[in-house]
Amino acid sequence: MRYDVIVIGAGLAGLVAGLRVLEGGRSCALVNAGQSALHFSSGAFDFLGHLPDGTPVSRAPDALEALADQAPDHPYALLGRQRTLELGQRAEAFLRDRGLALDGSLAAGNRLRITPLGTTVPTWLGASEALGLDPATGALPWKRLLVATVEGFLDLGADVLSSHLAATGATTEAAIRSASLRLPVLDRLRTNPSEFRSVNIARVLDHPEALATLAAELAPLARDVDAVVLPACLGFRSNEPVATLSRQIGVPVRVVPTLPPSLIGARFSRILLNRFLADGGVCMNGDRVTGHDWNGPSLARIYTASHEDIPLEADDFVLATGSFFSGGLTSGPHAVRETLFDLDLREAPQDRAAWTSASVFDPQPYMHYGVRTDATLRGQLNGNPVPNLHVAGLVLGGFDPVHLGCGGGVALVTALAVADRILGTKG
Amino acid sequence: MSVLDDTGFEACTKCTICTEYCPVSEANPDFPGPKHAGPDGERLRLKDPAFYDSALRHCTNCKRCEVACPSGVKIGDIIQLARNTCDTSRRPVRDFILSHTDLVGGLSANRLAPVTNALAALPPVKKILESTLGIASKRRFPSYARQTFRAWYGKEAAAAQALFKDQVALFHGCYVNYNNPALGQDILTVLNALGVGVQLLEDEQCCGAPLIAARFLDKARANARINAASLHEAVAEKGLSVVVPASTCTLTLRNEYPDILDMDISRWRPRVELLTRHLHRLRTAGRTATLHPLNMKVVYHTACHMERLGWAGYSIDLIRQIPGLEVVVLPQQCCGIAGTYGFRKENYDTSQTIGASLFELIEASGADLVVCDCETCKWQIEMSTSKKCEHPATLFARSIRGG
Ligand SMILES: Cc1cc2nc3c(=O)[nH]c(=O)nc-3n(C[C@H](O)[C@H](O)[C@H](O)COP(=O)(O)OP(=O)(O)OC[C@H]3O[C@@H](n4cnc5c(N)ncnc54)[C@H](O)[C@@H]3O)c2cc1C
Ligand code: SF4
Ligand code: SF4
Repeated sequence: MRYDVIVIGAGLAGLVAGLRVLEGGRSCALVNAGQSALHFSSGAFDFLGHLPDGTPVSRAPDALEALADQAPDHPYALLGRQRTLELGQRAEAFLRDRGLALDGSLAAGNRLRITPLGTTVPTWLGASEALGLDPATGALPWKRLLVATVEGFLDLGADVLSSHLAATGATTEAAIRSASLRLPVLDRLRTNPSEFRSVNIARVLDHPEALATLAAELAPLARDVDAVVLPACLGFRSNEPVATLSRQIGVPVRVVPTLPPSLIGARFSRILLNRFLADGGVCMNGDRVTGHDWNGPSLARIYTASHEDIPLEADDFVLATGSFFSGGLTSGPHAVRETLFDLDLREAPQDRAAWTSASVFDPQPYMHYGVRTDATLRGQLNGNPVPNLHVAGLVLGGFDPVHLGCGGGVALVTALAVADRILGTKG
Repeated sequence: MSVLDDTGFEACTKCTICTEYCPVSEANPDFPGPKHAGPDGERLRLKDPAFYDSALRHCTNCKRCEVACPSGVKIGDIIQLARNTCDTSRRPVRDFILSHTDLVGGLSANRLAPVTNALAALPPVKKILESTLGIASKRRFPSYARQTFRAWYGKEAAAAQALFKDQVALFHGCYVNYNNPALGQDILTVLNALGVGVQLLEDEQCCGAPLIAARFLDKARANARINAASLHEAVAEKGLSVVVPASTCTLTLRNEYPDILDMDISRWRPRVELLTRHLHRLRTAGRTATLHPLNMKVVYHTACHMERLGWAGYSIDLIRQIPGLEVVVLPQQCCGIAGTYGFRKENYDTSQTIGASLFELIEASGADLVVCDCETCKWQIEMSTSKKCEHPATLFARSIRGG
């Protein structure tokens, strides 16, 4: 089958690159081997939380020059400060136009999101129903809070969450009341404790009748507080149930992400994918790229597990297969490889001992490994760029997304950059 | 067990993504979902089959869990194998009737079909069927044809089809044969326009999908042996490709025969494929037909088994060739019917709950027609929305004929 553009991997980077080339009038197919890192994420997109030397970043635009000095191979450094910021700002509008309800902006500076482990992390764009802290003061915009969780829910408990919130300095323990909600409507789910997870709970609570019982149980508890905080167990298809609940009990409701699966991340993934289909894209989910042919220096076609002998051909290909976690990079006994095309990597020494540092809490060298490109973000073979193989997202090398807190930003910025290049070079 | 080794259940990371994409566990809290019913349950069942949980009967074998799994676990296969090996409960007569599609079709698709169809549509008859057999009375039954496709083909088409230099064989499936021979004729129109004649297989039985779902594994095996012999003959002896219009029959022949029935089908598998995929091959080989514009809007629904095959692109690309036609692809979600599942009284509500948001989208789409490669989706969509639903080949044939 033939398309103008084929994108390999439908994570954040692949979806956004695909949506953008459709917008530019190209035909596009996505091939995706199982759901992406979005399903495991916080549902918030981080742009730049720390510099490599550990300095916290409060405003990314002010930190990009220092980043380029300290990490010249970072995709932001390759693209340059101005282009990175322009693409980041475009990503904000791009995602909102495609139906993601997000708070935050580069102009406003980093917000702080709360992780299920109780730490705070600087972030850029977060679901509008997610709890965020004022970056300047680290405080909550409310005085008295009710932190309520669901009885039997193990992926985020109310006491844990309350003490975490107090520990962040966002508020004081005295100002927090915690409660565990009985919610008999969930009793059928409770019979399987291992399946008592955020997504399953949300799929029950989102029903208007169940939501009404949640409101009825919360309302008396929430009478003298300024806001209610819940684990992200509400709003499977949209954030509408959170807004409805808030109206019903008369105080703002915010959610905190739980341990995976990520309700918000997965919802974002589905919204973007459905939009991709509605815009005319074709998505082959559950299929895996298994082979390819070169045409001189260019990529001619790819083969997949489902399509067997029928190749998928395109003028341009986008490699957005993610990092080790999603299979974009593979580590063998002696080498780290880019899984599909064996593209040149940044910093992948033969010596396995150099891949990790002794403490799991230190930045891990292997996190920098990934595909080497120049500013055009094209994959390279033996130092020569492949003219029509564009690389976006976490499969790229030169940065540690966990240590720097830049995974979502890199995925979005590089996705728009490669899509622009595809659209621009072939006007 | 050799078959289970191929399901990859050891690769499960317990991430719960499969459950998130399972339409049944969303609509019916009694079903614990694919992670629990599949790899988790399998660990226990391997210790002792008595750990088998009867809630597994709720699984529709839609395989959306497999499509979503990041670790390549064949969760649907695990569940179907467990149901067929561990569940020893009695099978109701109703399940026999619903699953033996060729037996029932053979008795119904004849000159008396108009009478049978009218009877089956009468509310009192439906009530009786519900109270005696447990067939959902609210469901509209597919109607039977006066004459089977095979009978029509033998009388009206065989001789002319043999005149084409290039030939393919058609696995028409029960639906074309008993319910909608017109689709079979449309398939002939399309292939003939591309210069290809159509033969039928020596013998064709129901592919076995409803039998596997109703735990009639022996009967499924018996059918599969007959089909495998016919397919082998067509492919290996006559050198033909075999085209299959329905996505579920295609998936069953190509994937369930080896994965569930443990058959070696490597000799014919590569030459047996979905009709629209074969049409893609013909097009790539330079065969084109003159198409007339169809000035209308359609929405394409990707059936669950089409999603699993990964081949929706062939059908979408096919209808996008039709001039004047506006094609919008619906979100990837289940319509709720899942073959014979939604016909069972106890599943009716779950079935309609699963499909509800899809029906809303279809109603709101402003489309003139829904297009889908699966006949049971067609029944569900036509019963639950105000729109008609047709196979892509029907639409393509219409464009070839010019209206
Ligand atoms: C557990 C986890 C949590 C994270 N949390 C956050 C967070 O909270 N905030 C944040 O900003 N960033 C977070 N990140 C970073 C995150 O990876 C990026 O933000 C971003 O989502 C990565 O997107 P991507 O598209 O590059 O890759 P991925 O999301 O990894 O997607 C890659 C896709 O490629 C597919 N694929 C791989 N190989 C093949 C093949 N051969 N054929 C076909 N398809 C293939 C995979 O199936 C996968 O769907 C997190 C990462 C992980 C791993
Ligand atoms: S999606 Fe796959 S890996 Fe995850 S729990 Fe389900 S079967 Fe296991
Ligand atoms: S096959 Fe379908 S119904 Fe069965 S567990 Fe998987 S997703 Fe659920």
